[in-house]
Amino acid sequence: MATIETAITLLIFVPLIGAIACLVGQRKILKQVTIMTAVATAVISLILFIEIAGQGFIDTRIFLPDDLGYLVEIFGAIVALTFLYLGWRTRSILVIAFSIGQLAVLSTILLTPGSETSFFLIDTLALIMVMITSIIGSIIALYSLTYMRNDPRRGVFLAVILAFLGIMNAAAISNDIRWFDVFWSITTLFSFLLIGHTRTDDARAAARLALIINTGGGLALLLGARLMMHYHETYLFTDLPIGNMTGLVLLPLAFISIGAFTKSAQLPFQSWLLDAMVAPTPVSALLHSSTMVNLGVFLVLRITPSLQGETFFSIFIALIGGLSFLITSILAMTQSNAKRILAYSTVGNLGLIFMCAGIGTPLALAAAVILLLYHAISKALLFLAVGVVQEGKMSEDIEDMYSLRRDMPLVTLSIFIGIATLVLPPFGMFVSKWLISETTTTFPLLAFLLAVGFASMVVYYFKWLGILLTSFTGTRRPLREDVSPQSYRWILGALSAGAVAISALVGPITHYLISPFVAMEYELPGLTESLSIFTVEGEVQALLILFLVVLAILIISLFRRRSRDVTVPYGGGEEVIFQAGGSYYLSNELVTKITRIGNLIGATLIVILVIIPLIMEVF
Amino acid sequence: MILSSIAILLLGPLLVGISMGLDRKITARLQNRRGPPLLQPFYDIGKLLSKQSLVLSDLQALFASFSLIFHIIAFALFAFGGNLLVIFFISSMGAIFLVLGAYSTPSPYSHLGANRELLAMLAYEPILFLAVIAIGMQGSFLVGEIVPGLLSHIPLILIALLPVLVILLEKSPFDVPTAHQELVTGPYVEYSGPYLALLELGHWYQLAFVYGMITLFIWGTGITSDIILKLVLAFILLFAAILIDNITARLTRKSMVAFMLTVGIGLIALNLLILYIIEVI
Amino acid sequence: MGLLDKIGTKSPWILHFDTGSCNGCDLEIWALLTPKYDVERFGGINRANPKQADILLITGPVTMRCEDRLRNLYEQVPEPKLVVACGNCASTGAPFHNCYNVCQGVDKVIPVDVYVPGCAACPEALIDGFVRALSLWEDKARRRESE
Repeated sequence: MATIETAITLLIFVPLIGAIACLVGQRKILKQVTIMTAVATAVISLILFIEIAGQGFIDTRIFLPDDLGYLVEIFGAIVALTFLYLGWRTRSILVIAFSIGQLAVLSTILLTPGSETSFFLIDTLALIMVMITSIIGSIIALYSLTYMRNDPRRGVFLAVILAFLGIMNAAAISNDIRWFDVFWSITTLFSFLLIGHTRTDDARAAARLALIINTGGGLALLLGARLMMHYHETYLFTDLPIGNMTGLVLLPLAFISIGAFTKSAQLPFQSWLLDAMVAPTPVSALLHSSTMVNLGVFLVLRITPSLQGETFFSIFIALIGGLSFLITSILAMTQSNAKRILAYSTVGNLGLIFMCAGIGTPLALAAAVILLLYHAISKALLFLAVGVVQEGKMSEDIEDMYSLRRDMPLVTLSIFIGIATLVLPPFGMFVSKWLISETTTTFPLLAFLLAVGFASMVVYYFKWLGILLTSFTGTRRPLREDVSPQSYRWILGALSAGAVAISALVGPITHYLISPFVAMEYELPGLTESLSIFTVEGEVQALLILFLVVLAILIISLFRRRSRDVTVPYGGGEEVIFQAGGSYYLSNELVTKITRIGNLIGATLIVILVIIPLIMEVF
Repeated sequence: MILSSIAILLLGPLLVGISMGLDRKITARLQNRRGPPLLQPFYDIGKLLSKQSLVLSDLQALFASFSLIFHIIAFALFAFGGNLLVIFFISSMGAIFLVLGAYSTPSPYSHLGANRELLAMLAYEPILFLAVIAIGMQGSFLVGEIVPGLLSHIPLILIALLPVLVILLEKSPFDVPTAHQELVTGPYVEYSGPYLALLELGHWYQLAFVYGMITLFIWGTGITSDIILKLVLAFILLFAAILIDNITARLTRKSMVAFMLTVGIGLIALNLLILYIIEVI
Repeated sequence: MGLLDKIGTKSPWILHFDTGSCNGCDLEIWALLTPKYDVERFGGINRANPKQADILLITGPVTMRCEDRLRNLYEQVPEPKLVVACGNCASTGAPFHNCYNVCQGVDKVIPVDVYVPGCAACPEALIDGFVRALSLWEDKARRRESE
């Protein structure tokens, strides 16, 4: 118990101390400080995991003194005041309005304190979030050390990234929605700083947009918190009544969900995350994979137990998620900028998690948690790899990555692994795709969104991968002679290995970590269906393997006999000088149109989400 | 047990091979030609295996073998009563490796073919996926536990599977990826000899899975009548595909995707809607 | 591999290449594929792709412009492969003999297995040439293996 408490405290404060050291320390100690902080955070999170695993993954509660609560709320007010200032600085009426609203709601929250003691809750979901943040986030921090090496304001950048990790850890274990909101707002502030880091016009505009949408989301969350006190007389997620709610008591959950949608950039709020692509790559990786956007889905997964039994409300959460998945998958096909493709795919994958949370069956929730975990690691890998390519080739466009395999075999391999773990069986994401698909039998409407979404996903990922893998007839470098800098290669190698390892472990992870969690936390039956990948009798599997071995030998012997001869590409007799060109299918006007339609439907669904509790109350 | 499972694994592509021969024979007869012998597809595979292996890149060969292996796994799972969703995903993996193999060569025809193959996947995968979901909604996703009566419940889905079969058989009006007049053979263009044979075999296993899914729709009372009915149903769809092939010209890639995503999905939606209404009433 | 080589004769895939012919022979070759002569009876189909072809049906006297293209295509055909020179021009250059801009026959550029004379070569003769070429197939395959 003591170990867990210490580890948690350290996980919050070590990154924060590291951040302060980066901020005030001299330039030459930056490297040591960052490396030490990152390694320490990762190691401590591993210790935490081992400790909790040793106890059999039971929930841990750390009770906090009440005085600390006031301190945190005052801090929240300070953050809201900062938003007010930033609103004035960026000349944004909306931000000013949102922050004044936040202050107003905060004051009413201060006037109605909850009766129960708040505590940190470390359950499996929180543990997974902390692990993602601490390990992947630390790797991103190490990466940005190299990536930002020529930046004059590197210290500030690293400080914000490190502090981000500490705050994220704190948010993930907060069980009190007031605390959660404060950390949530701080991540908004940090993302504003990170997106605007380069101080170009684009970056400023993107940062301003992110600030507007996220302060709006913050206001929705605070309203949700206040209403939660009003209707349920608690600020604690764990004290929310479980299931079968109807009428106005659903209203706080509607507002909390809206907050989650803004943070996770679901339709119609996706624009801030897409525009945030102007930021340096580590920022994208951090926002997309290990921090920021995960908070939204985390929040919805926290309130899912209360949504059980009330399908008419939760189906709209699922619909917004499904819609986001469909629209972003279609739009991603039309893009040629690798980072933008990844951004769309992030929105889509988070949409899938929302969909699972909305469906709310045990299978769906298991799928959501699996998706959260695997998406984080694969997406971080992809973003970091694209960053390396961008540095080497000075371009993020997939057409400029033609035949990347020749110069950067290791980076190409990383991208291959990233995409494979995101799309292909038998990796982790596949299991979650499978579970999601099975759960849609209860809501066939969602299956239609999924069907087109999955197919589009295949199109945009493999179009990109295909261009990377196009072989060049000239000489090729072996894997270890990749031209990218040494530190990048270590980081990408480690992340790739991690992605493959954790994908291979999907069976045990689902069985020991996620299935009991779903059963316990959501008070639902566990996964009765066994999750063995092939769901056929053992002997058949053995036979299958036997058959494949025979076949493999056959194929090898077939090709051993003759050496392979290399030929030239067919060009109707002409010599082929080939440069890959893309097919992007839709015109820009159509893209705008689809985005607009998507936003419209998304906005309508969100309005419906708020109206439903009112309608239920009336009838 | 070993013998019977190997027999099943070989029987699938054997039947598909014969159906391909039948296809060529019927097409020839429709065009008033005599046509090749029934076993011609097997001769083709045999010949391809005996030829020199010429490649453009090492990945090309690897991806061809992967494509075959995943199609075999998919069909094997199907033959032994596995989960249809898993089978669908693994089967699409085989198609993905075909695309990657085509992309791995620096050849314009191959790249165009791969782009179009991806588009074809965009067109047929949603239908297959939804068909799988619809079958699952009737009871179970496990092939071994599927209850008879699919034909009376979801007949429109069987009709929606017909254009899928047309795309997979590379027939007009949806032979967009291979488009032998303008793209030579699309994704297959840079493959020759044994590797082409591997891809072709993989294609047979893929078709075996789709034909298998079609046969799930119909059940006879005894084992003999069961097998006969299943074969007849598969043949009817094949014959429809051949007829369509011979009376239509190729559509553009855009109209292919548009057709599949509107008419195909529309049929499935209509069927599910009707089922839902019947249930409510 | 004897059996596979035997099977090979049952599935000859065609690549037809026009090296500057007057289209007379080309029309006759297309006649082979149409109902009356239907060469698909022997398994022959026009693949239009050297990588997947077994028999090259070459027409025309091989103009200088075509020389490199012909060689390029020939090199892309995997072994064993057969070349049939269809018509007088392809066989010897015929009316273009000693012309400044032609190579005078396919065999000046690539090795030819069967010559089918005629101006234009009639479909029956082409089928005869086609079948004779197939009789060389096993021989070629065996020779290739011994190498």
